Amino acid sequence: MSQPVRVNVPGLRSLGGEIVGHGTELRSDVRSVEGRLVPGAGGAGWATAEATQRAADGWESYLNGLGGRIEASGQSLIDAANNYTASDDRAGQRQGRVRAR
Amino acid sequence: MATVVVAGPAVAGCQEEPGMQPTITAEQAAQRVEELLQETYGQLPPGARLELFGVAGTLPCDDPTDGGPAGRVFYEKRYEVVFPADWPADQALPMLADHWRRHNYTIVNDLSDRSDPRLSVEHPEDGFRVTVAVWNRDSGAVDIYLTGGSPCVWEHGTPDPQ
Amino acid sequence: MSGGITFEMLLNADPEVWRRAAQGWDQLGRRADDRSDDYASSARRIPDVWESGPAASAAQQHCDGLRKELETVFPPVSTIAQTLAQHANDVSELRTRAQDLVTQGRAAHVTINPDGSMTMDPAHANEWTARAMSQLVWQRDALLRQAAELDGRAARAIAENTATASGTPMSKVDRSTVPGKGTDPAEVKRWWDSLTPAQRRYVTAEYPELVGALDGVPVASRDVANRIVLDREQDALTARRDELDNREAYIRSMVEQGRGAELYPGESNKVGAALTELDRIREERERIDRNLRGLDRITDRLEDPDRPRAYLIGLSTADDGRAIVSVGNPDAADNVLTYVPGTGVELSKVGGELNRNDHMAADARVADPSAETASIMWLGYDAPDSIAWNAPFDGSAEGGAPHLDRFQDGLRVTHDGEPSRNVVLGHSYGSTVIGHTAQQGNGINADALVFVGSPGVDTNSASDLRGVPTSEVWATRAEHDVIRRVPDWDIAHGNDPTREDFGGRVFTSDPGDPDNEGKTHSAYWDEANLARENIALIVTGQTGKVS
Repeated sequence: MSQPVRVNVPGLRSLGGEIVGHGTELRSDVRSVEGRLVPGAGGAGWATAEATQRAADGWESYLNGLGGRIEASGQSLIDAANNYTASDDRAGQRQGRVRAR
Repeated sequence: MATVVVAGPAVAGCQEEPGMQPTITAEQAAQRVEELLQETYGQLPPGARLELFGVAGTLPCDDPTDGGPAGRVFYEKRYEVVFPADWPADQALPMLADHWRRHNYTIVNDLSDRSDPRLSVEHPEDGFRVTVAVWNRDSGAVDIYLTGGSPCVWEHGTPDPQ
Repeated sequence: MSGGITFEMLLNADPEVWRRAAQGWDQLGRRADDRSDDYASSARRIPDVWESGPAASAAQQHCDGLRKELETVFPPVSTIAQTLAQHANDVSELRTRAQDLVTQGRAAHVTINPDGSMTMDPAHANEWTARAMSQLVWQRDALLRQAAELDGRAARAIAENTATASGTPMSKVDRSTVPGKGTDPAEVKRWWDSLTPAQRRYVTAEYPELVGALDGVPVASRDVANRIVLDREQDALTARRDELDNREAYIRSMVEQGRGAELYPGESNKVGAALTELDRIREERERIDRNLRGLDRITDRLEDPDRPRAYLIGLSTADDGRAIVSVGNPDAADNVLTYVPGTGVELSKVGGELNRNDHMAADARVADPSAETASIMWLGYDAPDSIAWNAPFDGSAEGGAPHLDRFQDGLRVTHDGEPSRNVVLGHSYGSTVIGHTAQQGNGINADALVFVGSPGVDTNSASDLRGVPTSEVWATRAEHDVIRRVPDWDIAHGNDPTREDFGGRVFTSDPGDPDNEGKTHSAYWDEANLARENIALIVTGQTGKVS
């Protein structure tokens, strides 16, 4: 028998949701500056403009990825909460009763 | 110690409070400054335009050292007069000087004889100021600026509880 | 290196496009920073809902890793913003100089075509015109070389801070290797230069309070570090304020329920203890509110898109608080003004001083649009609360002197290219701090000193001020400035530096209002006051025009 796990399932689920939200928001932060990170045609010919374009591409793709990984980290908390609920339900059914939540 | 004794009353003497009267607000001061600057601009030969220069905004016009109320500000705004190469830049200051004389503005500083001439005046009624400054650059270029400023006002019109 | 910059590009350069791009990066940095705060606050609560078990620790660890990653976004992204803002300034200056060249050519009967090629006016095709033209060609080429160099430098800084698929790498630097407070700026600079970009990012993100305060670290990096400090200070003060509110509400509710005695079990005078604590809470909250007000003003200034970029070079909320804010980057500027405010200036009142500083920066641009001037509001000392009671005792000047001394040394050490013209200006008691600094050790590292409405600069003779030639010791005092009431008795700060026997150079300011001497003491920055133009001329090195 492993140690009993102390977990607040609804709390974990809602915290997971909150974290998913941070990831989603980060990605929308990136979208909100799309096209505004580079000087556009006014920068033509400057090495700084080329460097800025590369920096914008690099950061947008990295931050979108990071946003996705943050969403995934939140989702994994939700999954964990759901697993606890499911195993709790199964245990309850085996004993012929369902615990009220 | 002696300095304390002497400086103390001198500073405290400024506390009788002309500054505690309600004033127009900083926003109204900003409007009036803009109005004055536009009026000034209207006196210039046609063909020039105004371009905001630097920061338009408030400055502290009191100092805690005066012992008086803190929190008053004055509003200031500066425009650069942008004009084409054939614009009669040398006439700008004399034309304004003439206009101001006719309208009884008080002269604050008259440096119109200088190589970089400049003239500051104050409106006879409300104390708002305008300065025209002409800079003859080493490169041969001429830059002209119009600056307007308000008297000291309370940001929100009444003494700040702060 | 970009060899592709043409004269036409300079003439048509639009600083606005760079400024807007800088704002985009600033916004991205701030947002990422907010997400980092949000995420940290959520991740901290995982143990509250999921207390134990290997899955819980694995999840916690994973989230900690992501939190760290988020924290590392701000420094490189805001460095890119900074670089682009500086590039906007550079481009604007280059354009002005290109236009000036065209004007100069016109005066010399040489037409400079948009592509940079030049033709002589046939009516004036003589030796003089030819000579003028070869001079113009030389200036044009120098301008293009400088443009290429600035462009290359900006492009490199941005490339160094570009994220790859795994972000921007950081490499660990041990905290104990960071130079301590008070280290010679030259030594600090050597340490900084020895770090790789990945290490610099690490120390900025991990030890912002150390890096931000170190004279000798380039201003751009101190700015990034101090913005992190600012954010943390605001969060910490706000949290502390909430704590105080809660404690106060708790005390009040206990007292209302008649259970006040339970609060202070060991105390004999329980009512007294409650009142004392409530007083203490109120005092602390007022102090916090004052500091928060100052921090808000600084934040507003840093984020204001309508003003030139500001750099946060120092910040602390200890005592009355300190702040060093520069308009423009002094490391890249031709002229650098350090403005030391006078008495009564504390963090909460920093807003007015920041505006004054902005106006001085704009004045300098009017006086010389072809040069870049940075203007620094230096509240790096605990200014006395009032001139009447505290200022005559030089404690604050003594306390401020070593800081100002090191700060000025730091400006020299971190400056790029040709040394800038560094001017230190003190208003009121700020001038005393400068005077005191210039009499310690080898004096103050500056090209000129300016004393405005000074109660005395701690000596009766300009020749006692070391580090600057006496021909560059400037002073002004309005005829009706209340400060004249401080007598020249040689017991407080030294005599009035505008006295002839002081040996400095006196410049004009408007006489002020005989019926309001207190107001006159701060009227030097009023619109139309000649003092302002004179200050701008001194700052930009046009001392022959000072009146």
